[in-house]
Amino acid sequence: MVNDILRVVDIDKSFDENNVLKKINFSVERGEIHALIGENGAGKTTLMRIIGGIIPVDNGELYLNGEKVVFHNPIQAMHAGISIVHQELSLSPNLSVAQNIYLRREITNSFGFIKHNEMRNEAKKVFDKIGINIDPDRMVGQLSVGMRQIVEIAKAIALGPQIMIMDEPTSSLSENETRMLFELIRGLVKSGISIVYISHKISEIFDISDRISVLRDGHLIYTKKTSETNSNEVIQNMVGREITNLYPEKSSIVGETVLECKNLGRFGFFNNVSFILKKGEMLGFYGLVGSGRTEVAKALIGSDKLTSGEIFLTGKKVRFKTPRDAIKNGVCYLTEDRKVLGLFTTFSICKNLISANLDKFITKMGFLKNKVIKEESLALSEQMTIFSTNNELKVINLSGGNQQKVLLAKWICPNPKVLIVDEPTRGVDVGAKALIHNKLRELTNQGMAIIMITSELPECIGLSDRIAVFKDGQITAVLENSKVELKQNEVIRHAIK
Amino acid sequence: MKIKKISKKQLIKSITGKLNVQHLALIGFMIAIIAIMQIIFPLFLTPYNIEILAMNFVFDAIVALGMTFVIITGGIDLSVTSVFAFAGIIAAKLMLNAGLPIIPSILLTLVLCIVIGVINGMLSDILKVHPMIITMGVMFTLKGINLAITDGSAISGFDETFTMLGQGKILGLNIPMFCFLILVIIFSILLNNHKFFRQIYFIGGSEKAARLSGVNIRFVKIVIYALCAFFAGIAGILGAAKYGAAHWGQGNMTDMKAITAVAIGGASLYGGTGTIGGTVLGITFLAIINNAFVMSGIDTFWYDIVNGGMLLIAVLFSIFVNEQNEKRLVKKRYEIILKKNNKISGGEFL
Repeated sequence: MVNDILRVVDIDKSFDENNVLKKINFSVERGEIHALIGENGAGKTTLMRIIGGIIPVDNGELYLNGEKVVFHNPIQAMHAGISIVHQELSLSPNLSVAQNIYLRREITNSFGFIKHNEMRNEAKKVFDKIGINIDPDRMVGQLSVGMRQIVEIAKAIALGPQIMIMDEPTSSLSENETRMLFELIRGLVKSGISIVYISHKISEIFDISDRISVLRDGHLIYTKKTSETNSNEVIQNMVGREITNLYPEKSSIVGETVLECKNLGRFGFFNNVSFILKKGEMLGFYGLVGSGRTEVAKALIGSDKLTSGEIFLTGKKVRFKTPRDAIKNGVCYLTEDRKVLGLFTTFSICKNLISANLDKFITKMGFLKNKVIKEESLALSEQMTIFSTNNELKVINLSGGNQQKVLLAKWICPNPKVLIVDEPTRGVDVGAKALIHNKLRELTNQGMAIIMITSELPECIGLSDRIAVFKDGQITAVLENSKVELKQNEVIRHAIK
Repeated sequence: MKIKKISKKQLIKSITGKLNVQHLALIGFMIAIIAIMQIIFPLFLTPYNIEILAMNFVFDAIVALGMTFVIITGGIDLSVTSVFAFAGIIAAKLMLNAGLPIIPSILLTLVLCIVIGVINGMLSDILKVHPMIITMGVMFTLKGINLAITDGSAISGFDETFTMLGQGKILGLNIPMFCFLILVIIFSILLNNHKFFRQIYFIGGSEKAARLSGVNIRFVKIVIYALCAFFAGIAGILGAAKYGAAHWGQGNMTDMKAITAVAIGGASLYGGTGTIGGTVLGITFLAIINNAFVMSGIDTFWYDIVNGGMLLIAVLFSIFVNEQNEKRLVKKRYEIILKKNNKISGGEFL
């Protein structure tokens, strides 16, 4: 107990009606690497944001070195010695490394003028300490993603923290860079800093951590020493529920080939990607973040350029130049980034629903059939249980789950032959998730062919008829999943080596 | 043709759009000014004064219509001020120097204006440079061309048939006014009901999302900038006809007036919102304020202060009203969910 540097007692947190954290008890010992693992939406990031003072808690207490603390803002947490390395990089590309490290804490003289030399030297000292050679004058925009991650960590170290929280620091790193990062982390621990390491890559966690805590659906399921547990136990606790019961039945009627891709390639992103998609089938694209799944989808619909390969749609050779081409030919892509790429967040539900398919609602002269639009959009939102009286509500006011339903409805509306859904249930609550799963299966039963890109393995196994596993921009295996359901590690095996 | 089926009620609705609180407030404010002016200066509401009021702003109003479309896409067009003068000058040159008949000269001029608009649209989409810079560049270039081809002097001596375009009347209405009204009717119906114009809202809402939704962004943008230049061209030709002369300084500041009118009318310069009805109200408002100043003999230095102040108030008010409106809709939805949740368990619908 005395050794606990940070202790979290009975923390509750809800967003609106959504209970994200339930009575969490969690502690970090001095000088340990404590891994926090859980599925997307399990509450990992929320918990860390509470500890970092970014969001307030509803109930519960925080103890730092045995003393009770309450943080109202991130600055207070920083001063108390807690620093966070964010999942999304928070650096400004057009400032230098030193300027980024001391962003908003610039070293100035008494008139408020920045002492550039001193800042540069201080930054240099930080890099010397962690034994990495980066020129503090380099623009961050010129650095590789891995280097940026290091700068991000240097920024956190410059605060002189007792605890560092790293939120999926390796999600965009190469293997080499990951190894370098791990060495750095071990060095930090030796100098007395405690580390909370958030990730959902199991192998990494066993590599680096001293203790492991598993979060699931807002509950802290268990905490164990890394040496006393194994990956199977962790995965089981992470997933928890019986997967098979949650998902709709597999497809029974698989028809002729709708889409065939041969040796697709986009230089620097993926190569030699070949697969077949049949009518009424759900093909899962599984792989780690950055394995090239989304890139394939985007190049397929003509949003990005393909550098090689052939696409056959119902036997005819095609190559889409723009997403518009693809939609016209019945190939639609539902993006993973619903807020920026998927929806017009400041527009009403109704306008969003028809946005991909204006052609369906016009007269020969090109005039919109407003009445039909209204009726159709109400019918769609009824189907998807998005309750709204007149669909005039702006999408931005809806929860993530409902936004995702709107996005799905938007792409159902053009009734495509092939629908590519990218992370269809990211950041979505359990209820909406089940609805989306059922809806997707309903669509394939009606004869649509669906490609589902997902990072959630249970979802991928539970829903898809076949699974194409991606690794480093290539398909490493296509696994049959319709008759006998695959085991998780059978799939993961192909995604990591 | 299905256009005939649009009833009178629908027509009014298309022009005004959904009259929101902001527009009502703007109308109320205008009525108040008119009432006060009428009490102090009984000549205010005479046909003569109204005609002056309208003719002072009708050219800016036509430009503002085109600007509305551009602003809905999230862009801006500063070149209209030069296009305005350019149209007058080219039309004059074609008629007086080249000796072309009136109608071919006008058509040719409009085609040239459209070309300028196409250049605006193409450059800002292909080069990915903000349209403000592109159109500003075009504005200065064109201004130079205007000066060069006229040697900085005015061209006059038009045929009477041509000046009739600016000074004559149809059905007791000045021809420029008549043109303006026709354009308002046609384009407000199109903006509200046509597929093409619905796409400009999508571009303004989020260009990336619009692209993935299958909107041909380049084409739509080029057409919209061409349309804007086309409107500026019409205004320029009518202006030259009205004043009986074409001069490089004509249409000065018309870009700013047009943008102000569109903004007062409730459009956001970030794109995605705006209506023709709002723009018409905005420009009417500017015209009334201007006329009230001129008539009351108050120092016209104050004119800009009032205009600027009103622009700020109108924008703040519009933000406030939109927020209130959204809150009401959210609350309504919440109530429905609560009702339904009595039957279905779980908070999954929120």
